[in-house]
Formats: sequence, structure tokens, C-alpha cells
Amino acid sequence: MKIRPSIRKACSENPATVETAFYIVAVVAVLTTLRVVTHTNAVHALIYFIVSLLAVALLFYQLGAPFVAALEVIVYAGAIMVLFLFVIMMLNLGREQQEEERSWTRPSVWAGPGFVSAVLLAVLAWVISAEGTGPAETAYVGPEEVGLALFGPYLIGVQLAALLLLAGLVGASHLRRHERRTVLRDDPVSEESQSRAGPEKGGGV
Amino acid sequence: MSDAQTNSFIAFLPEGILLLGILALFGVTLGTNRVGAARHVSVATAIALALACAATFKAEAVLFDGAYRVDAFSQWLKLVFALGYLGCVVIGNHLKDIRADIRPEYFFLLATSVMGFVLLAGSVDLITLVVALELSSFPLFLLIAMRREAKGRRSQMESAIKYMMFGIAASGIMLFGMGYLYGLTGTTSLPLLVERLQPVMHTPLAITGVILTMAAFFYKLAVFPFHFWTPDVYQGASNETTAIIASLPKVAAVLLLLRFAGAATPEAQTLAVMLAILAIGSMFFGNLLALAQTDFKRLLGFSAIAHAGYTLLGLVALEEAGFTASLYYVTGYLFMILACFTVITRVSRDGANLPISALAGLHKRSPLLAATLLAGVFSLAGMPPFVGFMGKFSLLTAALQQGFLWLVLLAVLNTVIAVYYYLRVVHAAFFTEPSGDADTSPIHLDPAARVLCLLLIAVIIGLGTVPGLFLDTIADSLSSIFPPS
Repeated sequence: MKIRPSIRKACSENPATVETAFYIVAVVAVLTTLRVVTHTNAVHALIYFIVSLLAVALLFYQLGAPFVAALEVIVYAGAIMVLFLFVIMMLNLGREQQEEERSWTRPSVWAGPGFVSAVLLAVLAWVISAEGTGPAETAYVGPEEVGLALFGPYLIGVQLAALLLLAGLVGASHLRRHERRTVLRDDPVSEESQSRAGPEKGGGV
Repeated sequence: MSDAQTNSFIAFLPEGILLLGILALFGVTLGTNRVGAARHVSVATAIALALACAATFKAEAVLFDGAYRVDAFSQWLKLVFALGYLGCVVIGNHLKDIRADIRPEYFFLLATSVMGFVLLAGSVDLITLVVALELSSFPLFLLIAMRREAKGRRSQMESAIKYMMFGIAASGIMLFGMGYLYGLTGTTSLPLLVERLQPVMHTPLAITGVILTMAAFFYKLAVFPFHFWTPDVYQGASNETTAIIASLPKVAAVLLLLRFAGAATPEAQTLAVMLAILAIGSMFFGNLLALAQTDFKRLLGFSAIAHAGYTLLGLVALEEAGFTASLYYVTGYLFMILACFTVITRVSRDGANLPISALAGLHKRSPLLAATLLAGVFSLAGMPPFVGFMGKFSLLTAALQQGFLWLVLLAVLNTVIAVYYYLRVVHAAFFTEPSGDADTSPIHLDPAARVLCLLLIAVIIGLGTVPGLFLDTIADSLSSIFPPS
């Protein structure tokens, strides 16, 4: 593993600040994840989940894995979670849902996640600007190391993940087909309940 | 190609064949009029897989930079999985309770799941292991949901969601435990991890890590505090799907427990006591609740919990004779449970669940099925000469040798309780005349099902009458993961 000399120097100089930054981020990650679990509203929970993932990304950065941190932000927080949000919001059509959607964007909803995100941003700015708050570990894991690990010992894991996705894809398409058929056959009352059940399942799969 | 390359290529043959089968099945699912093709491809894949496993039985190789190992242990389990897969495919020949247009997908997902099990056998790296475990369980969630919907009820969805939620929670706990283990040892490579764990095994952190990791395997095996899903899922899933859930994951769970149990040898009393408590809890809970069941599948669900308890008896000993007995028992269990489900799927006309009373007069309707049921149920009850007897015998001996007399006594007591409800099934099939409106027409078996019945009876008796042969093979295979100390 390569070791970045500047980080090693920074760490040995000021371990206390490194720890402080780590614990702030860790607390944010745990609290937001708790909110994910305790929230009854799927959209609110997802927003907290995004913040939680951002916090984890920051932890990766502090541990000396900036590439993994970037992946976490781009893939998880960026692509997957925001996609979830879009799907949930898009599937809820109709006037009733419009009202509901308006209620999702009230300040009281985004104030909490917004605040903790701001804390994360502040820590990030502090970590980048101040000397001595860099990664706690001295090992540096860049894109090259990640790539080598993925196509070395974990090659079989990567291949398996591909197979897993294929199975998931087939399953998702089958569940979808199943739903539509049920709607066609059933009376309007259960059709409504079907379409309401839809987005939840979309989130689950 | 160099010799080493050829060698590792041959060692990976079973996985390669299964992968090709999966791709072929995926191709089949895209076409039209595909059920027959999917069935044939599945049977061909299963037979080819079993042959490939048998051919590479003695192969040894380390692949993918040490993340995957082919040795006697992995090859034995792959062979068991292959035979189990073959059994499941033949049992699922008709898929009566699955809609015709999604039957090809059923076979595809089943093959994908088996791929996960087969890779689980060879994985010796935590990351590969986790991905293989997920690969084996995700398709099963979907298979449960594929059952045809009963009018006004969505019990298949309820079962699927129950199985999935418990499964995901168990995976989460397992990952948490693995995080501890990684933190303690600094490696994801299992042999290295076990070696580094042994000196620190007495520390609370290590014990917590191992127990949390094992929690997911207990869930798969349906051990007592992790058993909640079992009866409901058994009941809600279609008969063929239940056959799969009841057989292959149990073997996989024992395989994983054995991989991690190596860390605990020789003296880790906390772990042994915990396993003993779980074993007792499972045996009593499963057996006592099974007494009151009228649905055959639900009865088998509770009996599965009890059998998970028996299997743990071998692990309590935390030494090789016990591990051998556990693996031998669960191998036998796979065939016993497949025998029971062959009968269930063939007796049930439209794929509905089967009350025990529906077995009435089975010996007249189909003598072969009745014989299969007899072999399966007597073996589950632990009667000689079937494999269930020898399995229980070797488990109890192993536990007794380590001085767990009280545990052995409780296990024997449980075996006696269990005999009652197993005999009820036999009584229904052989000594009860069907009531007035019941179906009494003979059951016609297709040739594949006949062969399967005969094979299952042969294996159940064979494993039970010449146990020495199999126990030696299993002990040999285990010595490849537990180097003789």
C-alpha cells in the first residue's frame, strides 16, 4: 500500500483533532440511520438515509479511502437513493397525492436532514482545510488499489454480483407482471389497493 | 495452457457447467412456449452438475488469489447440492401451483440459487462468502412470491415478505459480526481469520463477533430463537418451493457453521454452552408444537426446527467427530425431506397444501409413494435402518464423548416425543380408510418421479446401512478444513 507522507505527518502531529472529526461524523451517521428506521414516512426516511450515506462516505475519506468515499456519494447517495425518491414520488399520482407531496417539502421535513448535512459539510471543510485532520489511518487506498482488489481476489465476488443482479432483474419483471394481471382481474376497489401497494414493493425490490 | 492452469480449469468445472446452464435457462425464459425446454435444460444441468462434481471429487485447487478453494470438503458439499438440485427439479416437474407463463423463470431462479449454494461450498473469503450467500437466498424470496394467488388472500406474498425481512435482518447481523471479526484479525480470508481468532477466542469481542456471524446461519437452519419464519413460510410457499427451502439451505447453514466453528476449537465453553441451549430450545419447541399440527407441510416446518436442534448437538462437541456427525446428519436430512416432499407434490392434485388426513389410503393409491413416505418419515423419526437413526446415533455419541450427558438425555426424550407425530403420518397413509368424499383414484407417477422415489429410498437406506463409508468420506473432507492438530 502506498502511504501519503503528508497525511502520516499530519496524523502524528495532531491525533486529537482527527478523532474529534471522526466522532462527529460517526454520531451523525448513527443518528440519521436511527431516524431512517424510526420514521414512518418513506420519503422522510429516505432523505435521512441519504445523509447517513454521506456521513459514511466522509468516514471512508477520513480513513484514507477517498475513491471509495466518492463512489459512496455518487453511487449510493447520488444514484440509488435519489432514484428511489423519484420513483416513490412519481408513482404517487392524483390530487390527493399532490397534497401529500406538498407536505413532504415543508421546512419541518427538510430542516433536520439539512442541518446534519450542514454539519457534515462543515466537518468536510475543516478536514480538508486544516492540517492535522486528515485520514486517521496512514494507509492510502486510491482507485488503483480498489481496482486491483476487485479484479484480483474479489473477481469471483464481482461476477457473482452480476449474477445476483440478473436474478433480481428477472424477479422484478415477474413481480411487475404479476401485479398488472391482478389489477385487470380484480374489482376497482382492490385495484386501488393494488396501485397503492405498488410503490412500496418497488422500494423493496 | 500450463498444467496448473488446466488443473484449476478442471477444478472449476462444476461451477462452469452450472453457469452455462443458468445462461441457457435465461435464454429460454426470453423465448415463447418455454416450460418444457426450461424443464429439460434444468434436468440436464442438474445431471451434468452432479457428474461434474463426481468427476472432480478428488480435485484440489486454490483459485482467484485464495478467495475460492476446491478441496475434499467443498467437493463433497457440491455433490450433495447437485443431487439436491436434481431432486428439487424432478419434484418441481409439474409446478402445479405456479402460473404457466412464469414457470421458466422459476427454473431459472432455482438454478441461480443453486449457483449460490455451490459457490458457498468453495468460498473461503468473507466477501465472496457473503455474496454467495445472498445469491443463494434472493432467488428463494422470489420463488415463494411466485405461488398462484389464493382467492382473496395473498398468503404467498406474506410468506415471501416474512422470509425476506427475516433474511435481510439476519444478513445485517451477520455483517455486523463479520465487521468485529475483521477488526480483530485484519483479514477477510477465512483460514487466516480462523487461525488468528483462536488465540483471542476467549475475549468478549471475539465471542460476540462469532455469535453474531453465526446468527445468520442459525436463521437459515431455523434454530430456535431464529425460527419464527419457518411454519408460515412452509405453509405459504408452494409445495415445490417449500421442498427447496427445507432442503438446500439447511446443508448450506451447516457448511457455514463448520467453517466458523474451527475458530472455536478446542476449548470455548461459552460457545459450547450457547449452542447447547439453542439445541435444547429448538428440539423442545419444534417437537412440542409439531404435535398439534394437521397440515403436513406445517408439521414438517416444526419438525425442521427440531432437526436443527439435533444438528447442533454435533457442533456442541466442538471437535471433529461431532462435526462429522452434523454434516452426515444434515446430508441425510436433505434426502429424507426430499422424500417427504416428493409425496406431498404428487398427492396434492392442484398444488394446494396437504392436510395429513389427505394421505388416507395412500398405500392403495400409489404403493411406491407410500413406501417413499415411509422411508422419509421413519428416517426423520430416527428408526433403523434408515439414515435418520445412524445420524442421530453418531450425533449423540459425539455429544456423549464430550461429557454432555444431560444434553443427550434431553435429545433422546425429544426423539421419543417426535415419534408420536411421525407415526400419525404413517398411520394416516397406511391404516386409515379415506372418508366418503375423498379422492381415492390411483396416482399415476411419471417415470422421472418413479426413478426419484426409488433413488431416494435407496439413498436413505444406503446412507443408514453402510454409514462407515460415508462417515469416513466426510471425516476426510473435514480434515481439509480443520488441519489435524
